[in-house]
Amino acid sequence: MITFDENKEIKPEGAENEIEVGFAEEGTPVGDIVDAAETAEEAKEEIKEAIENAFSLNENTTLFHKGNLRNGRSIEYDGSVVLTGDVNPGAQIKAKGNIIVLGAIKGMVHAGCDGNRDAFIFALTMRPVQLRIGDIITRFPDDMAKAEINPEYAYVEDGKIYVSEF
Amino acid sequence: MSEVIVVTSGKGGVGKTTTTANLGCGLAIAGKKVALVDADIGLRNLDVVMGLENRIVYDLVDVVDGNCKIKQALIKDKRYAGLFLLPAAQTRDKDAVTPEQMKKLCETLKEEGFDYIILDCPAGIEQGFKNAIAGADRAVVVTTPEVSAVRDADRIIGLLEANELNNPTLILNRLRIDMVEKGDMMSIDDVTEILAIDILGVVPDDESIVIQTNKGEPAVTVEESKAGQAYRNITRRILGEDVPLMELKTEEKFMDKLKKLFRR
Repeated sequence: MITFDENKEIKPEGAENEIEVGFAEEGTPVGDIVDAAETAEEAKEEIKEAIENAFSLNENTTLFHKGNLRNGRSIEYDGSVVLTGDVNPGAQIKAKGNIIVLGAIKGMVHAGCDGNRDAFIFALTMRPVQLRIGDIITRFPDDMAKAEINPEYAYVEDGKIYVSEF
Repeated sequence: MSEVIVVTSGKGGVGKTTTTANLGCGLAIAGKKVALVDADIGLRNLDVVMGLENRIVYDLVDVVDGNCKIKQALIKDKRYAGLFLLPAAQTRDKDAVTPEQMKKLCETLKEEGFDYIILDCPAGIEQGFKNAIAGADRAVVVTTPEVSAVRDADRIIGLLEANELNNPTLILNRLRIDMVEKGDMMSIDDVTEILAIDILGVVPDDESIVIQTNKGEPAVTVEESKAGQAYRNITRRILGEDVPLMELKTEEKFMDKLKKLFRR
């Protein structure tokens, strides 16, 4: 983590030397540079954490499925699931790990189905009937615009499922 | 007193699910406590027609297997307070439940205090049909004025009587009075003559059914819909009122009027 003190200096944690941010030309928003560095660092940590979680929670086992999952079909798996194709309405995936759909989710998808809220769901088109992560269930609005390709991922924060652009 | 009504037809695509949804809404509007049960395991649709698909967490098979309590699986309708839906499982098949289990389920729903429990029966005469009729007190047979649908309805009525579900009533769906007048379609009398059972209602062919079904809102809720009016009448008949059959007449189109003028 990088802390930001009143003297507009950044001090990386554990670093012996203080780094001065004085080289920017006049008018350059110094704060913004620091912010950018901070978010980059945070993002790196987040990715590292996500990878660690991904490895620990499902012992690195992943099921690959090629093709669409049609109405009434289901995949249940102890690890993560990667699917190339669409998950149609009425179809479902239940995985103890993460779920990555290279296609559209239009059915029900449950990641971390044994209660793991750290699991995530990724899709090229996110138009599910319902999403579940861990023990949390969320339903999508009844009337949604036509599905377009727009990569998004779903994760849990403060006990709620959020969907963000990727 | 609660009553279990099964909506069945034999042939697929004649409007069982639409009828179930409309009767359920109609009875709920009348202030009754209604449970709709989708017995079409593996090909569920009632949740979609009711617009409740995204609320499903537990289903009928979960209840029967004891994975959850019946109150957890019943989905409260978003429009009417007294209306509930018990959805079918989609990833299972008809063998997932037995007629005995369905009987028990209907008894449990009766104990929950529902006035009406309406079962949406799957097409066919196999396991799914046997499950659906097991716990029913009375049956409503849906048919369209087509020879094939009427033939299947006749078979179904025979099977219902063999299973001691006597005096089923008939809903004649998708009637087009203009075609009947031209002699291109079976009339109400033609159908009742073959099937020889009491008629509960006649529903005209109406595009509002398609519109409302795709919207997830049954047509019975639409004031100006003719089919909706027909379902409102059917609801009142189920509640014991004596409502005459709706008068169906073709509306004269402008061109027809013109033609008539010239013929004079």
